[in-house]
Amino acid sequence: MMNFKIEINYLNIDNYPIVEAHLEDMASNGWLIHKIFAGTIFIYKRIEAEELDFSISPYEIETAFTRKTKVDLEEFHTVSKNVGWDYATKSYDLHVYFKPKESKAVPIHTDEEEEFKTLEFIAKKYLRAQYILLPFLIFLSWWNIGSIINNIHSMKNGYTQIASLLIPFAFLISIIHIIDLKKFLKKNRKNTENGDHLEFRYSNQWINKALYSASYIIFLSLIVYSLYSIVSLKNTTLLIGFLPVVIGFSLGTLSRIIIKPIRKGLGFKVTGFIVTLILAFIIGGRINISNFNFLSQSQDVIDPDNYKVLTYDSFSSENPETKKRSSKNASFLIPSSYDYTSFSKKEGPLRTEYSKALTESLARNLVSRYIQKGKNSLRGNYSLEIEQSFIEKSYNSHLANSGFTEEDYNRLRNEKSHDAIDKAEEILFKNSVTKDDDLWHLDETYFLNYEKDEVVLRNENEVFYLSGLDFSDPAIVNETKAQLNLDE
Amino acid sequence: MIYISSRYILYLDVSKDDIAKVDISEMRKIMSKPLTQPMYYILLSLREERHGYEIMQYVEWLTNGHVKIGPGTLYSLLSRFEENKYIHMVSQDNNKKTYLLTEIGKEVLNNEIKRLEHLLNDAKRSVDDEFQNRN
Repeated sequence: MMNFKIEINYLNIDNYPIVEAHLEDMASNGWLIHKIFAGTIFIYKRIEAEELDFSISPYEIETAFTRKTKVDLEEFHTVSKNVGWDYATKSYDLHVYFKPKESKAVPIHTDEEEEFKTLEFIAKKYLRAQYILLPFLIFLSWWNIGSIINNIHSMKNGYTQIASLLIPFAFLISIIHIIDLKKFLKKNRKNTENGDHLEFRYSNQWINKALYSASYIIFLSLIVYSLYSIVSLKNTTLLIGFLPVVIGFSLGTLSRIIIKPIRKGLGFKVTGFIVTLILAFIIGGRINISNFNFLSQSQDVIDPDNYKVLTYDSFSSENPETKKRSSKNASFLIPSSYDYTSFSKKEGPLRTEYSKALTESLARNLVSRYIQKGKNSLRGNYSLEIEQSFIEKSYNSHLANSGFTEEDYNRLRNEKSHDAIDKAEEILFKNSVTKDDDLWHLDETYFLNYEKDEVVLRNENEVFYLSGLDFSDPAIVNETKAQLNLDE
Repeated sequence: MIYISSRYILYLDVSKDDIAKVDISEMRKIMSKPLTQPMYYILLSLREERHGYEIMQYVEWLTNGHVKIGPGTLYSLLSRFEENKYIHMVSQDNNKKTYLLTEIGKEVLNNEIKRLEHLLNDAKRSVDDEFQNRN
C-alpha cells in the first residue's frame, strides 16, 4: 500500500479557504498534507483517517528583502503550537496548521483587517515578481518565435521546440495570477473599509490545475530530453546550459545561509543585488563556449564509416584528416541530425551537417533556411565592402570572389548610393546563391556562395549542408555522392 | 488639541514641544487612524516587558476571555509596531523575543485611551440625554 500520494492542486493567497476544506476532506480519508511544492504539487502521507481542522495562515517568510528571519518564524510556530495548532507544511508565505476537530484553539488570525494587511503585503510582492517576469516572457517568446520561424538550429534542437510549448502556458499562468490578485485586493480593500468579511476565490481551481499540469508535463519532457541528449546523443556540451542553474542554486544556498539571517538595511541588500548582477555580467562575459572545448573535444560520437559525412581521408591520402569534431541532435521536427567537421593540415575545415526531417515538406523548409542563412552570411561578409565601394566611388577588390563583379559595379555607380547598394545586394545573391540542375541530380541543390564551396542538398526528406571543397567539380561531386550514399 | 481628518476625529493631548520632539513622519502615523481592538490590547500589554505568548495570555486574562488574539494577528502586529517604533525588543531567549513600549508607543496608547474616554463620555452623555435636558 502506498504511503504517499501526490496531486496537482493550487494554493495561493486568494483561495486558501477552499484548500483548507480540501485538506480536511483528505485527512478524513486518511491523507495528511506533508509537503507543497511551488504551490501546486501536494504530497500527502498516509495517516489513520481523522477529522481535522486546517488553518492556512499568511506569514511573510524570510527573503533577502524582508526583515523576517527563521527565528521569527520558529517563534510563530511555537506560539501556534502552544494555542493548539500543529504545523504541517508551508507554501511560500502560506503556513498550514491543523488540529483535531473536537479540540478548541484560538484561531490563528483573529482580526480580518490585520489578516488582509498581511495578505496585501504578500500580494504586492507577488505582483512585483509577475511584473518582472512578464517582460522576460515577452522577450523569450519573441526570441523563441523568431528562432522557430528562421533558425536552423531550432529545427534540429528539441529545446526550442519544447520551450515554445511551455511559453504560452507560462504567459497564461502569469496573466491569470495578476488578474486574480488584483481582483482579490480591490474587492477586499472595499470589504475591510466597510467592515465586511474577506472574500476568497472558490471557483476556477480547474483552470490553474490544468495549466500547471500541462506546464509540468512539458517541463518533464524538457528534463527527459536533456537526459536523452546527454546520455544517448552524448551531447555533453549541453551541460554548459546547466551551468547558470548550478551557479544560481549555489549562490542562492549561500545567500540563504550567510546573508539572509543578517538584519541589514534595504540599501545594503539592494546594493548587494546590484553588485551581484554586475558580477554575473562580468563572469558571464568571461565564460563562453570556448572555455568548455574539452567537453566537445572529448566527444567521439560519430564514426564516419557509419554515418553520411565527408572526411579528408576519403578524398586524398596526401591530405589526411588530423582532427575531427562532431555532435548529434534530435527533435520532433528533425528526429535525427548530426554534424561532422574534418580538419587537415593543408586545407580548411570540411564540414557536413546531416538532417533527416520528419516529412519532405519540413526538409524543403530546412533547405530554405540554409538558403536564408547563406544570404545572411553573404550580407555579413560583403555589405561593408559594397557600401564602401559606392561611398568611395571605387570598386573594392575584396569583392572579386563575392559574385558582385566590377562590371556590375560600373553599371550601378551612377545611381543613388542607397538604391545602388540594394541592387548590388540583389546581384550578389543572384550570382552566389544558385540552383544546380546539371551536376548533382537530386531533389534540390543550391550553392550558397560564389566560390561554390558551400552547398545544400536535399534528397527526399534528407538534407545535407556541405562546406570546404569545390562542390562544382564533377570529380568531387561524384566522390561526395558516393560517400553520402546519394547515388541514384 | 483636537485633530480632525476627513475620516477620523482624534483627541490628541500633545503639546507643541512634544511635536518638536517626535519625528514628523512618526506623528503622521500616530494621527493616522484609531487603533483596532487587537492593536490596542497588544500595546496595553506591552507597558511591561512581555513575549508573544505572554501577550496572548495577558490579553485573555485582562478581558476575562472576551478578547483573544491569535498568533497570526499578534505577530503581524508586533512586526509592524516594531517597524513603526511603537515597541522595541528588549531581549531574545530561546526563540522568545520580549518587547516593551517605546515613547512613541506610549504616546499612541495614551492617545487611544483618551479617545476611548471621550467616546465613552459622549456615550454616557447621550444615554443621559443631556441635550434634551439642557433647557
